[in-house]
Amino acid sequence: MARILIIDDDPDIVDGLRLILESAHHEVVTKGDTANLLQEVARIDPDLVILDVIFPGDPQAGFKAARALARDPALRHIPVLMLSAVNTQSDLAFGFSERDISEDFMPVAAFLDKPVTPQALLAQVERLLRPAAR
Amino acid sequence: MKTWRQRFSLNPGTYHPYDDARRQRELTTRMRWFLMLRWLWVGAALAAAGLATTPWAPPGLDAHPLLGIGLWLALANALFTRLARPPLAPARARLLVVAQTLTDYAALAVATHVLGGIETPVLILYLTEIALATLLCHRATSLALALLGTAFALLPTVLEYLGLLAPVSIYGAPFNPGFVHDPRFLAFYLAGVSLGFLYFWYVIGEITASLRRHEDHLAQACDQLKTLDREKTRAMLHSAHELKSPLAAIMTQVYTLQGGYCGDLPPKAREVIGRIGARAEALMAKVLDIIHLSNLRTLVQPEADMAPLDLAALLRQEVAAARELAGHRGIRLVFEAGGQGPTLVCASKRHLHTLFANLLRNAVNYSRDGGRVEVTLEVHHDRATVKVRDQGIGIAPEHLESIFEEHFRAPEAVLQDPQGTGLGLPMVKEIARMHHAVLRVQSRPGEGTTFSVTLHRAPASS
Repeated sequence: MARILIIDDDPDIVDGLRLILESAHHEVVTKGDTANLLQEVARIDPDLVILDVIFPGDPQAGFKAARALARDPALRHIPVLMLSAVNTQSDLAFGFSERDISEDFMPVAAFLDKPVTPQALLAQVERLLRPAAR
Repeated sequence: MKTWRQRFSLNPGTYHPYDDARRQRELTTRMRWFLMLRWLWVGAALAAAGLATTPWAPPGLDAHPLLGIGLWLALANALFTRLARPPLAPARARLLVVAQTLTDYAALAVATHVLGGIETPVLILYLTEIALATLLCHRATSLALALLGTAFALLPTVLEYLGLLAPVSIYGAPFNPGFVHDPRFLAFYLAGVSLGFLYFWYVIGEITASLRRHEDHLAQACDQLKTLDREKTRAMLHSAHELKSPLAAIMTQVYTLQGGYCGDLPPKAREVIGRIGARAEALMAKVLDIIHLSNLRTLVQPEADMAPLDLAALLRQEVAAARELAGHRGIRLVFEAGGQGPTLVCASKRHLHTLFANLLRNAVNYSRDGGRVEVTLEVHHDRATVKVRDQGIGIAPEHLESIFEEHFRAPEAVLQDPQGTGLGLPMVKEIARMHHAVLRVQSRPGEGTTFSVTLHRAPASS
């Protein structure tokens, strides 16, 4: 069992993810925005963070949060699974995909495109919770 | 009311040719053409010099001045060709045009004299120079060159009238020796040639300016349309993303219900949830295709993704993936690659994956149960052609033109595969365009369809 923090502003997505993760006996904590991120993550002390990209008022809030976590020496060990409906390679749009994962641009452990099936989500979560994946 | 200056466009006002990159490219291209054209003149002068040494030449034709003209133009043209090497700044290019025109004038003045002055039609060649100067230079410069051309054209006749130059006739005797010493003739001749040249300059200048204005308007309209198209695509892309988020939330909820994460559901409720899930997945597929197609159309640097890849290996993967779709319907997929070893093409792997995955999905979806789909790879010189051939429902001839249009679905296709988005073939077309590939389709209703994609092969060393 692990403690998983879901940071997403969409309550329907959060509820769906919570049901799936709790069925796998994980403890789920949720947060609807990226305000006071570092303090909250330090307080909750999760084993894994599931992070959305676009938040109201800032389409890049998820990126910024991932970068802030990666820069913090006390929190950088926590794997981040980025989960978003935005997944495109257009030069016009704000787009990215798994191949864009990098220390500078998207410093996360993995990326999944919404909607994610319960099987794909659980497989990825289990992989990231294994010590070797960190 | 227009002023006389506006009416006759002697001062074209704000219109300045060659003030942008397009005009600069045009100037450079025409400059090269001007240089090539002069080599023809060199050849003509040397040929005329050669002819002058034969018994068939007119008795008054002297080979030496013609040889001199040929050599003078050859030397000058070699120098101009060297100076016109890129990069060529606009100011230097225009200066070169002026220098070339003056060089030609000098050669033509000598030619006019040695070929008989008023007897010869050499003066017509000045008109080609004036026309070229009008095409390549600003209006004021072209007027100055037209006036200088007039002066050069008339110089031999004036010098002959003044007795500073002996009249020459290639026919052995002057055509009408009295003409060149008659002041009335000289006055009419000078006025006629001057007015004729200036009239020619004016007409050519007006036509050129008018064509340039139309060209500029068309270029501007084209730019506006491109911008509008990009804005439209951008808006569509954002709308598609707006649709995708709530749809993802719906599907997440459906997955939790279907997966029993909310407890057991009665059979009827499971059936209804199943239908909701299927429709939501179809809608999501459509939204994803819209996003994918918009992405393909708005890629600014598609070449950034291009790298040599083994087409045969990619096709093997695609065929293996399509077999999973086809297996439960008893459809057999066969892949044949002509030749041995890798077939390298310079391409984007992910985009070619989309292209062939779409063609194979269509071939399977529109095949009859138990049918056969053949994928062949043929290599001819620098091209590689992939053919995807099915024995399915085929496409009616009247629909062949429309199958690459967005959202078009032929009635028989809708019956065979109701879930299709009508966006797969537009994506195929867009990816083929991006790779400069040739896309062809042949089909007979009821017998099957063959799509062929011909790509450029990458050099083996790359």
